[in-house]
Amino acid sequence: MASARPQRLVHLAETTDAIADALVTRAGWIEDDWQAYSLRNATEWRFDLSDVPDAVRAWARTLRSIGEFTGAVGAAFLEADSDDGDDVHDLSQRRLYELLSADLRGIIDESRASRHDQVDWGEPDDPPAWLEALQVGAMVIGHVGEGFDALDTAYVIGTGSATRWSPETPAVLGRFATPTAFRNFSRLFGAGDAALSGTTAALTQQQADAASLNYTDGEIARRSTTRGVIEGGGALVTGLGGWLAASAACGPGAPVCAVGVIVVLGTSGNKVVDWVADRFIDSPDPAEHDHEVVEDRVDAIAPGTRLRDIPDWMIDDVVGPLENAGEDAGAAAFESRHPYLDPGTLADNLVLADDHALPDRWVLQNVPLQDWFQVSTDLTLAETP
Amino acid sequence: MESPLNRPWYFDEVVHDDDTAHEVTHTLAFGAIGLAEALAILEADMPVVVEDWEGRARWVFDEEMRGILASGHQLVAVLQAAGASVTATQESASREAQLRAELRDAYWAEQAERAERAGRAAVGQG
Repeated sequence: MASARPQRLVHLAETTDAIADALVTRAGWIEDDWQAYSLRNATEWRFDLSDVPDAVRAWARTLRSIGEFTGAVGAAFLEADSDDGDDVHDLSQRRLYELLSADLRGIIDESRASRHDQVDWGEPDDPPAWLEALQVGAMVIGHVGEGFDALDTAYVIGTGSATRWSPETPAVLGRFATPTAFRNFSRLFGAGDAALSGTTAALTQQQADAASLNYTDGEIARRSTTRGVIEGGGALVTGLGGWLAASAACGPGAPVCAVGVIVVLGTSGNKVVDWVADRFIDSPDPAEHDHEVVEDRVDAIAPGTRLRDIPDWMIDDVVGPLENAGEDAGAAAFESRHPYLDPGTLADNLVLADDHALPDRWVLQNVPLQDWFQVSTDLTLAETP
Repeated sequence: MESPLNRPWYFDEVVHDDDTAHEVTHTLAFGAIGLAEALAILEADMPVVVEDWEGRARWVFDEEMRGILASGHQLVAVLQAAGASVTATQESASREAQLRAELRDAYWAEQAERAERAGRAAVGQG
């Protein structure tokens, strides 16, 4: 028997397609820059990266292929039963086979993968150890040449079933400004406060939207404002209504009744407010992302992007360390090519200056006075019978 | 006899260009960031996508996807290393060009001095 939530498989195919498109664009940019670089730097004074664009394209092609495979499997499940695609669909292996193309059946038949190869992909907020090890591996490899912390680009965002890894948190919210933390804060300093309620709702909406990769920045701002206004206004109306109802129904001197009315009305009021907000703000399916938003995320920094439009962390954590490491390596390469340029070495062995055809004037200028004194003393001693 | 053919090694020009090297380094670095972003998206989606997915197609998917993610992380490292290597080559070339320029200046100054001395000697003999 085979089972799946087919719509999610189809969504993955869309996501891999968007990522592959973005990477093909990136490969083109690298190729353009490589051509300009190779034209203006002689062979012996440039680093050959001609294979890099093709490596990026090859990876994108492979990713697109596995996405197409996954999407086709999802489509086969949906062809057998098109009801709610996010529900679990069951199908016999034989029927699934019949619904797949011959090419895809061939891929499955040729594979030696078995149940033992099934991978633990972890929970969205709890990646499996092997996946974390992969990131650490990339980090270690990265440190060989530069110093890019891959873990810096992905961290947990959201709470409960909405928890996701996000490549980016809006800097203004701070790295650990999760909705949970903010909600705890609002509970601590005034439960039911309309402004905090609205702000929390807006923040939750904003982070969920950003993490879902389905909306542009403008759409995220509009959706979080809508959510904040509705929830904030709702909290205000609910609180006021509860107070008025308690005053009318219970009268003074009946605190238990008043609390009961406020709690009952508050709870049902919040449900109504949530329902109203959900009518205005649609939600993406699990694993559903907008093609263009995913492409923009991967191709965020295009050639010619102004420095002020590049996030600081990219410069501080990636580009800067990478260039520093490169400069150190370049300086070391230069020094190893010309060990005889060291003033002490030259002073010890003046023949080196002749061997390398160094002009006397340059040698005189670059070997310090005390070293020349040592040279002349050595020569005098050597010439003394 | 002085001729361009028998001039010392530092007369060979170091053909290099800071701007294009800088540009390609940045493109590689931002490529690494973009690919890391792509991996983060995929890794976040993976548990959601495979939830309740059973059967042979799932096994094939897992086997392939695990390798794809691993090679993706390696490719991030390759892009970074290539960017650092371009900067390293540029730094090395830049220092080399500076050294050769200094040596050429010293060479020409020395030649001028010799010519002047020879001229003075010729005048003295005359």
